[in-house]
Amino acid sequence: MLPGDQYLGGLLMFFLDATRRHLLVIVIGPLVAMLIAFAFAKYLPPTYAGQGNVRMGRVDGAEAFSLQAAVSRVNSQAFKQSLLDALNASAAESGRVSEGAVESLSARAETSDTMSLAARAAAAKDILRIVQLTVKLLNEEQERIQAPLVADINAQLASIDANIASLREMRESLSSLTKAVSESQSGDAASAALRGVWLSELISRNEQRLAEARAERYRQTVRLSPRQTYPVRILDEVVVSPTPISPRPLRITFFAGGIALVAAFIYALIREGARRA
Amino acid sequence: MILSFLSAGCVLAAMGWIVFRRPALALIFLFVLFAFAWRLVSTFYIDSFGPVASEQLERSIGPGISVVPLAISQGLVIAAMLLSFHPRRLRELAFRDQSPVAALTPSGHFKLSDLAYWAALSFVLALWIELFVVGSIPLFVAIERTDYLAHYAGPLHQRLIEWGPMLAFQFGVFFAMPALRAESFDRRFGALFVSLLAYLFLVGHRFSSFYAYSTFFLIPLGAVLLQKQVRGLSVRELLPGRTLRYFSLAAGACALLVVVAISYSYLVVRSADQVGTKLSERILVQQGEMWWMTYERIFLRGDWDIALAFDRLFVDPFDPTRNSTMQFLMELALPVSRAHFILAQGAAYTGGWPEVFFELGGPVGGFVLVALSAVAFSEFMFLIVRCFVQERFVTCLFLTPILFTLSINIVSGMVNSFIQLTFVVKIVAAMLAYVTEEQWRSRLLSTAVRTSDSLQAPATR
Repeated sequence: MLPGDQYLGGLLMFFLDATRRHLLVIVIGPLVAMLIAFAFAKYLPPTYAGQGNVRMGRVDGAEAFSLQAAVSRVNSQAFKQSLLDALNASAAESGRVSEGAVESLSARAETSDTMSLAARAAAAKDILRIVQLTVKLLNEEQERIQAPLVADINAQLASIDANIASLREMRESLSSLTKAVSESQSGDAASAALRGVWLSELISRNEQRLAEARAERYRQTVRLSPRQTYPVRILDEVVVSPTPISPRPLRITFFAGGIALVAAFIYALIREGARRA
Repeated sequence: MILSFLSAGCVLAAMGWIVFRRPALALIFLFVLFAFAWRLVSTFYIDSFGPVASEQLERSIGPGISVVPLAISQGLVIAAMLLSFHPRRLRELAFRDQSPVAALTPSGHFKLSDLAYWAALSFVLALWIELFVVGSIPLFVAIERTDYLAHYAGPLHQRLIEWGPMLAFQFGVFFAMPALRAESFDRRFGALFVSLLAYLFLVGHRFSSFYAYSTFFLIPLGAVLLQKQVRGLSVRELLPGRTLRYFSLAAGACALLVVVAISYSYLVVRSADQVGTKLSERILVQQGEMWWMTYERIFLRGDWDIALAFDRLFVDPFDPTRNSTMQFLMELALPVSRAHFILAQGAAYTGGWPEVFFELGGPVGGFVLVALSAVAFSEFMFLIVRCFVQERFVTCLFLTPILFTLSINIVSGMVNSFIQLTFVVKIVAAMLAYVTEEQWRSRLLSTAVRTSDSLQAPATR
């Protein structure tokens, strides 16, 4: 049976001996690696991360597509390709955005009608452009899908407007007719009174239909009002990290130092084994 | 149907062959093989008897041939396992390193196994004391094990849930260690293991814990069996009639415990109405349903997004402290709000491997990733068996957390544990332990050789 104290003690002493004998390598090696890594990290291009919350658009209170569909759409390769094309098209004015930045775009559902868009890019302005263009593309898609509904509502509005105009003309005619009847001096008072009643009945009915048409116009207008119909839009300002998320010189430095430390220990242990042998 | 039957049948036949012709290997890989067989049968059921209703997914799944890619993936693992444990490598393992470390180490005050035993006994005793101090024993007061863990359990119970299977593996190591030198098993560790199972029974655990703890406990036993078989001993010589009877009794008792625990959980704790339906759903549908969803999405619809999968698995999972694979698969399979609600309760569905590799690599690249994971896992298993057989117990101890991580990866597809700093620390610690133990043992051996040479030299002169 293995003697516990001798086995564990022997191993520990071997480890400590190896460390003591090669202390210089164990200390200097990681320090040198850390210095090199730090210098290297300083030359790496920076990457910023940003996030913006987006509210889905609606027409007449209804979504063009569900939030989940929008999230899947934004995360799809086809959408990212469209985004890249759109960014390249405007590259002359605003500069090129890397493909990697577009690839990094990801959407996820936040609440029942909002999603967050996150992206990483070499400059903060690129993230803003990516998010803004994503919203623009989503709006274009929403407009395409909802165009028949909007056209239908607009056609109804036009028809109502025409109706109102004709009712107004009718009102004008009726009022001039009433005036003409009241000014006429015909002898038959009973007939004049009857005409008067008939005209006031017509005016009243005209007014009622005009009021109904106006109410209907209001209802149709409300369908396209900002309360019921609004585009996809960014809720708050897009938040971009003030400092680059990468490279992180300290992290890279300690990582390199850690690897070098392990390598130095392994070297020390192997040398110690070879020395004793 | 025929294709599904053939592919599932081939893999199940290969597993059967391993069980009967290479029982040592079956014991070492029992954790994985059992999970594989279960998922395969479940997926075959969904394929052949579909459409079947899935309560968890709230939809119908199947029919199809989803079992074919699953069987190929499992076949790759079995092939890697057989290659890693090829008879030629095993012969080298059993006969090459024969350094009698125990004989070369100076005699000490206490044995390594005694040290381990007293440490383990203290923990197990403290665990029982903690259970009685807390007062609410889940089995008697009908509390779900998850509720007990969240609201009542003490710190030692929390540690057991985190590290339990690894502790069971260490119990197995010290239980089987004397058998490496043809001595009888160290029953003290067997008793500790039994008390651990009894504890788990009392705190409301049902099948999965007994399965994980027992299969991890059996790995060293499989390694001993492997060593003896390579050296020409038969199973009967290693496990004579009486010992085999004891093991059979223990296995029977464990199975009985599982049956009682499951029945009690369904009938008393949950007061379930349709126990039969619930059990058939649990056994035949839930194991394969997530794979079926992946199969439908990737193989049938060609819909996968590597960047999204990478983001959800490693960068921005719903809960980064848990298995991100199942979180991602649930987000894909269910309405996101529902998936998040279930995950927030602390629950998760079953599966994850090989789904995660197909989500990351698509229908073709997925097989490459599966093959890589299979090779990594089987080679690691060979390493840990080698360390145990060669009595490198310190390395074995440091490899244990990595064994757990890799096993969980191959069963439930957890990949975000590989990018945790703690995992890197575990790898580094295991590497340093391995090199230290290797070099120290070489030194012991060379010192012994030099001493014997110097003693022989004057005699020959």
